[in-house]
Amino acid sequence: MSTVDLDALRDHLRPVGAALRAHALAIDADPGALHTLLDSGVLPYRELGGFPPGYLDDPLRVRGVPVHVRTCVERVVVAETLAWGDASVVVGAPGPSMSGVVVDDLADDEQRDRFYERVAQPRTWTFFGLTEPDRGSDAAALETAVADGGPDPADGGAVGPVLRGHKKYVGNVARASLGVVFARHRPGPLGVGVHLVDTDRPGFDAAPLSTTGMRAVQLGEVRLRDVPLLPHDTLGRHLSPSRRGLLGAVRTFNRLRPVVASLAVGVTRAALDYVRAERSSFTADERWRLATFEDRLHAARALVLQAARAADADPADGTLPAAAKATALDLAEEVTHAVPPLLGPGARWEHPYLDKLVRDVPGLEMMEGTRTVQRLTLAQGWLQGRARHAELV
Amino acid sequence: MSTDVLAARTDPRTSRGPVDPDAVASPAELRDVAREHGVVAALTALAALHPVAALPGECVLLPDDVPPPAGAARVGVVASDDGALVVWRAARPGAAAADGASTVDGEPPAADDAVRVADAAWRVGVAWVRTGLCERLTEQAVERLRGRSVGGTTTVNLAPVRLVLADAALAHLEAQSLLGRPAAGRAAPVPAATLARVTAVLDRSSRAVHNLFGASGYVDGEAARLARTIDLLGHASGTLPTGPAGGREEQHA
Repeated sequence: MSTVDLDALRDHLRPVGAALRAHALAIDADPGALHTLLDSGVLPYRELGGFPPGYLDDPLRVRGVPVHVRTCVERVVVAETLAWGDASVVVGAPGPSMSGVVVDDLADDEQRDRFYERVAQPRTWTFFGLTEPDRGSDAAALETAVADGGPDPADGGAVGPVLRGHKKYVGNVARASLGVVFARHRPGPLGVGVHLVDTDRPGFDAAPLSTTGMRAVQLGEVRLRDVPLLPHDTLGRHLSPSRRGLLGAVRTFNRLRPVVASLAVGVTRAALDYVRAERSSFTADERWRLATFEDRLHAARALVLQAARAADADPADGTLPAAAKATALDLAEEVTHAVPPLLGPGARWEHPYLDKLVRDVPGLEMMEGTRTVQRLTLAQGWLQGRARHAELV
Repeated sequence: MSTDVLAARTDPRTSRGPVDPDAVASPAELRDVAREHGVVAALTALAALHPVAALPGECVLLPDDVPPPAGAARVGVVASDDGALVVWRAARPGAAAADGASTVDGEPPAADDAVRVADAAWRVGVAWVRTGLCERLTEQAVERLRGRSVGGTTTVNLAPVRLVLADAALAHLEAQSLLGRPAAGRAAPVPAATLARVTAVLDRSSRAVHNLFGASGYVDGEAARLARTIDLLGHASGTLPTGPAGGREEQHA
């Protein structure tokens, strides 16, 4: 249970969201402009990164209380507030990001130190290498492998295990310093391990992709050409097989889905606020529709917060996180498309921020499973008796 | 008998057979041109069928070599999957062109009945084009999903995927039926509510189909550009100004 005053956290971060808004279109046009935002110092990305206590000298303080942004509840409040300005920067900023959550779940003390001490350095990005070009929706069939490296060409000795494969649609990978790679060492669902990998190793070849939105994330792909793997790279060595690898990562996804949902809530809020700032009067029909959207936004936010609490309490249960993501994405997609016509024909060109919101939402759709996957997860959980008695009020 | 789709691919063309984009005789044929040849050929064919028209202040998307309405100002460019489309805004009566926007010679058009009729005809043509583009996007999605699998099952054979495809097919059929009403004996343009419904149906369908591409549809490539083109054509021409405001998804909320 979080002891942080969430309203105070929102108030504290609102100016940061406004600053992100000011830079949003420049970053959308040129993702390299993210550095201009970082140079400005308005985004306390290290303090918001979710570092465990002890790795930063200067944690975020809200009304004098340190906030480490470690719980899912804290993360969703931060994500929604900042996404009002630019959701893509929330995901594309330097820091532990998704890798941090899996490190928290699977790493031993030495690995945790290795990861967080490195990422605590300014402008250090991480990556989360799971998705593969032809296996995007079938993680259990991933082909990236831990292979035998064969003899060392220099001295004839054994090279040891290497990573061999291709990961695609990986955020920040082309500028990351380290991250995690999911790779198979034997067949079956327990045959997938998670490995902490530094990107300066030989054979690690990453490049960015051009996307239609969420451009600060700098989605990319990486080819792993016999990247040397060391024994201490493998996360979860101290855990049972059912807690590491892909099965362990499910807990990570369940904790991240409410965060993605909160980004969608922030985008929805941004779209509604934008149109109200640009127009002072509406027809009765328009007022009715906007009021309905506001109601649904309120409901979605409540669901996301409850899903975050559920994920903090039991990260193995993904039912409410799935419901939250499906609900928030449905609303974000509908609202971002409904708002531009309220500002007249051609609004998508004359109000480029609204067009950016439209283009960002499909990027959120792709993160941690599409709405189809979420609905299947929700149905499965509901049939198993989960989330039937969730209380939102 | 198995219902799985493995490799067979039916001819997507209608009973009308292959269509020559240079010999389009009716708006309905624009659908075929859009599906088989893409948006540039389809909008070019539309411009040959009907004069390019837009009410004052309204926008049209046109291939680079199709002249815009007289007095229109260039407000943007859309990178479609088979070429650039220029976004033009028809001049408002008495209003100067937007700062920094290039203008085309000529006087701003008056919003008289002739312009309204021409504007409506253009929008109906765009709706036919969007219908064909939605079919094109769906065919591309199916083609992609035939080559992928989840848990040993070809992705296109998964029940959730087939539901999306079924809904897409229903959307394409409904759009045709609604747009075909004038051809079935109505002399008047398609009513505003009808056009708004077509736009809403195609919007919903194209977004669902676009999601079938997964993350690959988010990379700036053919599918992403086609989906965006469908979206922006709807934004510019999907509803009559006299129709329900916005006229899109929200009207069903």
